[in-house]
Amino acid sequence: MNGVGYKQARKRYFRLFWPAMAIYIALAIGGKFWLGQYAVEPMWLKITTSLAVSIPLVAALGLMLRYAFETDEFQRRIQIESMAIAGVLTASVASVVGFLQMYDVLPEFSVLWFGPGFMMLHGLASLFRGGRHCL
Amino acid sequence: MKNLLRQLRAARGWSQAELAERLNVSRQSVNAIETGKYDPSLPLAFAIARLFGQPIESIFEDEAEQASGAAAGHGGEREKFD
Repeated sequence: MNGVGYKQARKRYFRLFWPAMAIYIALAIGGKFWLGQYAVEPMWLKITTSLAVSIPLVAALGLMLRYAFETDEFQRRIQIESMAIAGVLTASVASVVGFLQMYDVLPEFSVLWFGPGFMMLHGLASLFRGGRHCL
Repeated sequence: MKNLLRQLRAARGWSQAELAERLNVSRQSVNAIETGKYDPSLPLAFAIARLFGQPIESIFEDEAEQASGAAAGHGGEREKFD
């Protein structure tokens, strides 16, 4: 029984996860609006805005990992298995899409969607792996 | 691994959530252990044994050992006939 236990781990996770998501949404919308004010956006502002928007998202991914390490052993197993499934699926999709783009089958598009895609797959895998024990 | 967790919990009138609270684990963990879907680690098994004031081996039964014991017993019977 490593970590701080299920209840405390869950509390610590949600206490920071939702604010991180709120900051992410605010910065993503605000950043677009802020940059739209300029006819030609300065490079420093583009870099600062991009990094500022990324930080809460990266923090949320880190919080998911911390929760997996801190929670109880059964939940840890579900979380780590779900992350492994989501990671393998995301990497597989990224590879297939990458090759399809390389051979001009698919148009170029932002890789930004792989982050939220990983999170969504992780959520689905957690439900699939842990859901049957919820009853 | 078979276990008597459900019976011990019921004898004390605790819900799965109450037992989970006392063990500092999730209710899903208690459910998974009770239904034999998940075998707890040694530290958690010791915590369960401590909580119910019983030795680990009286709560958890090794099915493989039981099966081999039964097979040996059965074989022993067979030897008598041979």
